[in-house]
Amino acid sequence: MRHYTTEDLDRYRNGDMNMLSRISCAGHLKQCEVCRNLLETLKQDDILLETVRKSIARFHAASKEQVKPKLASHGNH
Amino acid sequence: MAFTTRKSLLSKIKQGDEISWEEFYASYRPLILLRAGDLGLTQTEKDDLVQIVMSEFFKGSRDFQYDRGKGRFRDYLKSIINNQAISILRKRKNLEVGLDDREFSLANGLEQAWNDEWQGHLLNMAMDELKNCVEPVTYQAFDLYAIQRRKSIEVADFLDMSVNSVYVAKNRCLEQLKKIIADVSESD
Ligand SMILES: [Zn+2]
Repeated sequence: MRHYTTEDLDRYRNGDMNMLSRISCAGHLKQCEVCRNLLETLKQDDILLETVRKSIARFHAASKEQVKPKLASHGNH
Repeated sequence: MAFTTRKSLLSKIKQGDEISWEEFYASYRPLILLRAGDLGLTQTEKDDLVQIVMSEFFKGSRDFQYDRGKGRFRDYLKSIINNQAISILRKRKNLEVGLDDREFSLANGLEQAWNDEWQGHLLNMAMDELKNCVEPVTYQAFDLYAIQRRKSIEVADFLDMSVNSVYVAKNRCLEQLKKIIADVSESD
């Protein structure tokens, strides 16, 4: 039995496969634990990527915080 | 096709290499600001804290080397940030309650917040490192598809590659990123 590659399964789960290939892949997944595990790994990768995206956004926002000139304490009225 | 040339900042710290002011500032300013926010500092106080923490590390020099005898860098850094934040808070006229580093760490989930921020910091450093480890076009495909969440077909068109190649790039970068994360987590 030929197993699907990581990229095949990426195309499968993202709807980048044609109908026949998709049906064939779904049938294979039902009976192949190796490919099911690979698909599960891809889902775990999605969780890691979500964490990375959140961290990047949070730190990017913090890095954009501007140093404010200290004029307020001298009064401005 | 390995592009690994630049040492990560954490590797340098671990190995006692010289760290430049600019490199440290760019990497650690966001982390210090986030921690300052947790500790309830105002915007002006946050800016002061960044400058004071930087001075603590660099002592007027353009470079510094971390002495591993001081223990884990993350703990040392947290301790400096906390101590300096306490000093800033004490300058507020109306502060009557005494604060110490231990109270600070344990209060209001601050310890958990620090752990989360440190993990976020490591992920950001790992992403910086990733850029140096893979071909630019591979990183670009990964960034557009996996980080910016563009559609695979759009990324493929934009970079003039197949959709399959976009996924190859994504998976190659992820594999490398996991190795880097394991490496920086070990060396923190
Ligand atoms: Zn299979």
